[in-house]
Amino acid sequence: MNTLVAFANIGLWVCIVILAIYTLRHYFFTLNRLFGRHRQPFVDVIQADWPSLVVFVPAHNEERVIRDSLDALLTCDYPEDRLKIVPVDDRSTDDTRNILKEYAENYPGRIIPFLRDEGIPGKAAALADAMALHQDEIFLVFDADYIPGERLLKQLVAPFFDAEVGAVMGRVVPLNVGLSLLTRLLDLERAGGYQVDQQARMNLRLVPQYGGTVGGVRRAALEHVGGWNVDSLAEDTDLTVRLVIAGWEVVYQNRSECYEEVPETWESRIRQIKRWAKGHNQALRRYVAALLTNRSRLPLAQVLDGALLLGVFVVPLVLAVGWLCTIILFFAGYPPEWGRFTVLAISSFNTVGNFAAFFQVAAASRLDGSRERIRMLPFLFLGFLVSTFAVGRASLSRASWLRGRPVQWQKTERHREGRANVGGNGGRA
Amino acid sequence: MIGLEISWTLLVDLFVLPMMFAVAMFALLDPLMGAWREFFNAIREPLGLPGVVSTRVFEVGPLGVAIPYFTAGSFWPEPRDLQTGWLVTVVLFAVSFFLKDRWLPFGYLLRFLSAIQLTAQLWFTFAAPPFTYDLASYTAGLLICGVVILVLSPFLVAFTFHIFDFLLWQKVAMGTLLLAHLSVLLPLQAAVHTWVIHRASLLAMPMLFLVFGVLLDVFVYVALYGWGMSWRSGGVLDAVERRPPTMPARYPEGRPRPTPTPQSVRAITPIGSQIIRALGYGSMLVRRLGLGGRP
Amino acid sequence: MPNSPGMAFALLLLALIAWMALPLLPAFMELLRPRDAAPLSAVGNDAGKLTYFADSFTKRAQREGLLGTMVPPRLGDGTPVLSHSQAAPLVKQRKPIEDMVVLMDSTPLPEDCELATEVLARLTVRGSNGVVYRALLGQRDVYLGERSTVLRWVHAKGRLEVANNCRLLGRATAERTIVLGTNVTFERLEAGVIRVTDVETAEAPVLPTGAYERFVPSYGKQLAPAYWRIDGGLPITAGSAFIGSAIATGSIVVNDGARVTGSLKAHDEIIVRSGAVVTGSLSARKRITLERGARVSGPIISEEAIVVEAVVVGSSTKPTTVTAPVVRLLPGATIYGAVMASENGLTVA
Repeated sequence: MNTLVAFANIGLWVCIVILAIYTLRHYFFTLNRLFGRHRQPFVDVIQADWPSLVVFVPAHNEERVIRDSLDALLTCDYPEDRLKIVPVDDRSTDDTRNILKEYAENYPGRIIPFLRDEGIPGKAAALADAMALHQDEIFLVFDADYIPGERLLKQLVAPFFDAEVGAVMGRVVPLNVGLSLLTRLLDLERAGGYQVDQQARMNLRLVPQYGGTVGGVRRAALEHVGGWNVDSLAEDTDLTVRLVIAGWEVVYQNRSECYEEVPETWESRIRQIKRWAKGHNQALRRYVAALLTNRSRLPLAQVLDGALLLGVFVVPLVLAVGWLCTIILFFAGYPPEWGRFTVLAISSFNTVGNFAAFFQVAAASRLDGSRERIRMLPFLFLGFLVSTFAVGRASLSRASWLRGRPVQWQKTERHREGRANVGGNGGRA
Repeated sequence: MIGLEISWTLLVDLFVLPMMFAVAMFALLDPLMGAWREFFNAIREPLGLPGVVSTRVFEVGPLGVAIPYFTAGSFWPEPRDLQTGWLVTVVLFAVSFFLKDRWLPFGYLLRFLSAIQLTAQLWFTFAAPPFTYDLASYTAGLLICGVVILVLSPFLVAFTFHIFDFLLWQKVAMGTLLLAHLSVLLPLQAAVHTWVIHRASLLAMPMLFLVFGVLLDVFVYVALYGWGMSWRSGGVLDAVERRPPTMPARYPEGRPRPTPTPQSVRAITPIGSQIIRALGYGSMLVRRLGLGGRP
Repeated sequence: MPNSPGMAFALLLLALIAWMALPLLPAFMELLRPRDAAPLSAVGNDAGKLTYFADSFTKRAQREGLLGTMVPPRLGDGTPVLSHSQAAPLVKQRKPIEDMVVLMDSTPLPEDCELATEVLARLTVRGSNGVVYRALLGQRDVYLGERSTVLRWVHAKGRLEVANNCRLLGRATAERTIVLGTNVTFERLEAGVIRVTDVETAEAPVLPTGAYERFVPSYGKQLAPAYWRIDGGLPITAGSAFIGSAIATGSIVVNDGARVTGSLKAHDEIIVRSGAVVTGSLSARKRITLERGARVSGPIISEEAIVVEAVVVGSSTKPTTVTAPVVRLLPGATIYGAVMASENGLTVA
């Protein structure tokens, strides 16, 4: 029993230290975002000789949403002769492919669908195959349910005038906020993650993450780091880390915003978070050693932040282990003192995905000018509970840790209703 | 980008204000403990708790705080208590699976509670008496923990709330509200814990300690904090009002849809469209060489 | 008094739950009756469009009939409209003029007057000294007198000429040319071409790259074809041609007459010396200095400061952007496109 108690005590201390590091990290980010100098050097680039750009729109069974996305891309103000839009259809079984063919016919040369019927399934593999056919300078990626603003493409391309920038990420704003408790919690989570977390990491020259959508990559950088990892579950995290290790910069632009649809049901949220957890843990397994050995001589702060970023989906497990150690110590007659217990309790009000603490979420909403939604903060506990169970299951799955698992195309369910049909092919205006 | 400034008033709010609260709390601890003692004395008999309300002195440096607590005891669970506990655990767990869709998080909450209770069931099923804790020292410990939280929570408020550009009265209000709420919550919590453990046996103690103790206090703070953060401050952060008044359409209503390439152009063969694209590049080249005006 | 311990406990529990529920009330109210459940409005229409306010005002002016023969005495929202012309000039007054002002001809306004609402100029504006404009839309050319101030925006459909010692806060745009005097404070400028003092700067000749001696970094890592990463500084030899892009962890100096056909990024500063040509972008964490006679295609991005001497940046067919927190433009600086100084922009003598 003494051995068990000793292990539980040490275990609890380890968990507390990890949780405290993350909590302090997020507190520091919050302070930086509130008081620090903001880095947004590219936001004012409004005129330039814009480089050739391909916008990829991975689409798998996206008939409900793909038209709006393509219409939005077609009406962006990026020079038409420098822009190609490539929807990537990977074995859709609904009407997606027909819609893409219709758009290719209506907008020849501007929309060039990539129709995929074979090859490794998954978004990363589909993008890899599609990108191999294009030699343009910059690749942007938008998920099919995104509706980019008119100036968004230029905003996202502007950072690439900095020769060191390998990837760029914009901000994702939930559109379907008011539908349920879940969507409101996810809105808070996104706000904390982008408005504070990502921006602070940009300010401090740490590791903003390329998130796989509303963002893009320089083709030269992508080729330099070996292209997309086709068996990766989180190709965005995978690419971010490889770019950073290779010395490229990943840039976050807070003002480059785009609407997205967040999961509207808890089941789809669980699937999403499991997917992210598996992908993140996979990237952790693959790259944490390379990051920490730091052969590229990156600044120490970047190395540490990169490692913390990779570990973010292990932290809910750490918290669960902390609770388990607490239970053991309690029964053994050594209840943890109030300090350690309070850290555990506070950590249970974090968001999952970036492990943003409740004060970070509140600060982000405040910075967005949204006051009243902050009252929803206590409900974060429910979201945290569900996500912790989901992350736990995902982290214990083999896909997180073993190589070469087959990848299925995973995406969030779409709930947007079909567009009104405004007429025949020539009548859309 | 919107941000705040570090100023002397901010530093005062961060360090001086919580110190003042802590000092005030220290000064008020004796009367507060007195009030708690009175409350416990008043409810002990109606609750049917045996024993008396005793006092344990908690040393904080040179100061001693007299924490009141019930001396009522509890007992190792009888077989019937264990069976009831098992039933509750299984029912909680089973019911959790019926909570789906928007009730799913509550299902997970029930699962979490049943998992915690399961540990207690297993312990009391396989271990032998006596239990490490007795009810009296548990209650005293709970309240000691509460007093520590009371004294230190102004600093939590300072570092999470005072950093924003709220007015002084708002910052004072947040600290005061929290301390006032905890001052009433803690003895109520202790009394409820005592009664439940006294009546339901020590089987209830793990669940109450782990879930309905400090976690509940933090929950209260987060709720108050969320409310406080929604207050208007009149400061810089209030100047940002970016939400549209109503839900926008999925595709913005004011944004025109694209115009398809005219049929006449589409009718051209693929080679023809390439020629047109090449002509476009050619005219661009002409402009680059400065042979044409600015587009 | 409750009859039994059970009843007493029930009351106690009720009291606890009620007390606990108090702080949760705002959360539940927000959940059940949402007051803040709309999505954020994504970045507004004016992102990247400096003439947004000018265009909005133009539409408003058309709607309100301010561009017609007769100027209405009031706008639709009741704002009074004053006309200023040779026949009926505005009288100088101590207080700011709160009414909207329409300049019917090129008669100068009274010196040192303050116009607190938008001003519409139907013909060329010949500004007097010391005038404060909240916003000014010129349908033709705009000439701002010395010590003038623009608080929000100024737009000229032709040429915008700004005399010495003016302050252009907010946006200053013109469809053709902006000419700035010295000691002019600015924030955001955009025009076909922006010049400091109306002197055409000779553009450095661009010879074919074959005419230069090839410069290849002798150290550093090649990330991609014509893409170099250099640990330390990178001085590009005078008169040589560097073909490709480079990232240096130190400073980059493009020496006299050198040519770079690519983009440069420095963790320290960048200096482009006289006669050097860079047909790509420049980006630096610290200061960027473009010395007299250099030529850069752009964009030019610094996280600290940019100093532009008598240099040509961009071209009429390839407008570009110069952006930094601090921008200093010297006489002869010529920028095609936009100049953005997020903290402080100034033309110096």
